[in-house]
Amino acid sequence: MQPADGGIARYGVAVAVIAASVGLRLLFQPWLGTSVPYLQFFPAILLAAWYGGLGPGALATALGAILAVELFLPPAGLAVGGVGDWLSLSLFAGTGLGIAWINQRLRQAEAAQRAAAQLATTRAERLDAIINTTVDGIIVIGSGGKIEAFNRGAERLFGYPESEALGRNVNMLMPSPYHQQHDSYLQRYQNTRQATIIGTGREVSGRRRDGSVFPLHLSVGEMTIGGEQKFTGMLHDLSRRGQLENQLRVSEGRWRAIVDSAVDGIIVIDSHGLIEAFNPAAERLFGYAEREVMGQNVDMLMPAPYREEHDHYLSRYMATGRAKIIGIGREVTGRRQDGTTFPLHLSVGQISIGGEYKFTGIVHDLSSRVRVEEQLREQAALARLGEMAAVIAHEVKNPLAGIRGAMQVMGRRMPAGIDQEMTREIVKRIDSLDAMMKDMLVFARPPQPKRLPIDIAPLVAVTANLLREDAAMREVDVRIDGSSPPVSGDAEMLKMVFQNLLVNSVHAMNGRGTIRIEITPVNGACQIVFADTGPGIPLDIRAKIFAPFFTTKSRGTGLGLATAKRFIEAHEGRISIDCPPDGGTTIAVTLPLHQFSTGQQISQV
Amino acid sequence: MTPVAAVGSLRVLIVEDEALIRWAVAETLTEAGHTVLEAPDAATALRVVNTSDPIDVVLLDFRLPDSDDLSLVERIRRQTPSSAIVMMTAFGTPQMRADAKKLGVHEVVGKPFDVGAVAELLAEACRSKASE
Repeated sequence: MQPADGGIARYGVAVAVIAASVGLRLLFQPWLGTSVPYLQFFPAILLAAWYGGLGPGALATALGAILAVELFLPPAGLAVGGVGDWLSLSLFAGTGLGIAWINQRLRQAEAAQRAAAQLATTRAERLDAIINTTVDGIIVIGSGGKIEAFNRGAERLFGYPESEALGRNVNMLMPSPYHQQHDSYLQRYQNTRQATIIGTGREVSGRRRDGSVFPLHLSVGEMTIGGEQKFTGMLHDLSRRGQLENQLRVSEGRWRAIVDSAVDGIIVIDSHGLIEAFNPAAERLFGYAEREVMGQNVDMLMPAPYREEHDHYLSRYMATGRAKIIGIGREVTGRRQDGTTFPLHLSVGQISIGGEYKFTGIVHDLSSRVRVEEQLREQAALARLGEMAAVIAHEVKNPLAGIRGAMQVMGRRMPAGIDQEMTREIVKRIDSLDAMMKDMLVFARPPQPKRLPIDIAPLVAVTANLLREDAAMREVDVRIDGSSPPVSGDAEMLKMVFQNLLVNSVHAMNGRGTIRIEITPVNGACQIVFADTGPGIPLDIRAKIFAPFFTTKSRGTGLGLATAKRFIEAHEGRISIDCPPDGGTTIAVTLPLHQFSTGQQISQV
Repeated sequence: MTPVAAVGSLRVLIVEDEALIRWAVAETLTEAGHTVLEAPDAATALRVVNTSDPIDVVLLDFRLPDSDDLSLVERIRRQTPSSAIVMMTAFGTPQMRADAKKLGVHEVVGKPFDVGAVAELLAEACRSKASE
């Protein structure tokens, strides 16, 4: 039934069908006469109302009534007829109008239904369009995990056409182990209703038709259609994001590698001075691990008074913008974790990240440069000292010899008594002075070692035995362990070194305790460690212990260890001091091993 | 005080610019019965060697105002080959000692020294020289 909006057509049809009814009646008039004058109009009214609704139905009814009265009632018409005629006319009109009205309602219901159907179709088409044009994949599965819908996005993502995906288990889109476990996930959810992914979303891995695996974000919704539980999965491809992240990672990795491998320390602080980055070189320089300093105030890396003032410097800079070190660089002092300080060159740059100021410090260790400078200074000083020593030796020892001799002669001539005793005392003092001069000379002008292959253990033993004869050594237990291939050394000089070390230890232990001497070959060298059970040496004193004329003894020239160091260094060896946490002092001497040429003998000590 | 050993009287020449040393040694040796000649420098020493009676032993300072090497030792040895030589030094390197010994110096004494022991040292040097 077509919508019959055109009024003329609708009413025309009403008139036409009434006319047709009249024609049909006229054909049968000879047999019908005046009986059932309205009957032939009912099909016409029905037709008109069906086609045209209430109006044409009513028109057909009206026309039917008039024509019936005019043509088919007895000639007297209504006027002749009685109540029965009026009644039948009324019945006809009422029935005709009723038919028209019912048809009108039918038409309306039909139109509404049509509109509803149209709407439903539009909606379905729109949804279809959305589903199929969306970039994301949409997959609907049934409670058993079978794929019931698979949009174009999903086709693109996984490489399966819809036709191939429908009806198959969704786990084909998952890599192991999810591939195997998905059924049990689904089962568990249906049993326990405990959702791990439903209602939320998270990053998972997908498996393409070609077997490749890619990252995706999956959000799962649950729905019930026709009493059946279904799940809708929305899948967002993350492989592109993964690529970007990868690129970022590579780029970041490159920078990280540069920062990590830098020889100089790199430290980043925020505008409050809190450490945000601390590279491995900085770790080495300061002795702190990155995690120990992150978020800490950078002033922990500075000695007083900078430590106390750094916050103030920083806030002044933030307030005034006047840089004292930023953009420039200068030599400053750093403080290691163990409290020791060292010289460093610091250059500070300013950066702004996300509108926040940060400062990058590049820290270059100057201690080696300073150490070399110090060594050069020391060598120059020692060379000068050597020259001076020769002059002093003559200029001092010559008069000393005169004084001593004259004092001896004078003392001899004096009568026994206090005066004579004093002359002897004077001679003793002169001898002490002379001994000091000798020590100084040995230190200032050490002999060139006459190097021969030396078996170190017996040499140490001989030195220790010599000292054992000394009364001060009686209560000291000296133990010698280990051995080493022969070293290249001057036995006399090394004896002096060992003697100095032993005497120092004995003094440190107040003549009572144990000295362990351990001899071990280490990397082509021989290490001799002297460990005593004395009180140990404070760090500040340890730092100066090899310096000439440094002494903690009330009597002593402070040249013993300095000379030992010079002798060992003349052997291209090393000497170091340490105080282990469990007490005592250890001095480690390292001497190069002798490089044997054929037929050479070890010299006997 | 070490008593001076009786090895007979020696003629000793002390060559030393430090007067105190000279005096102390001379006094000690004289007291022990030796004859002592003194020279404050190399020139005087050579003159004394040339003009005096034979000298048994020369006690020679290594460093003098007009001499600070071993050439003086050689000249003395040439002029008085029979004399023993003992040297004194405030600062002698092992090399210098070895060179001196090679030139026939009997002993090198480091300053300061015990004057009481000098007489014995000189006597020893003379004995050693005589046995050559």
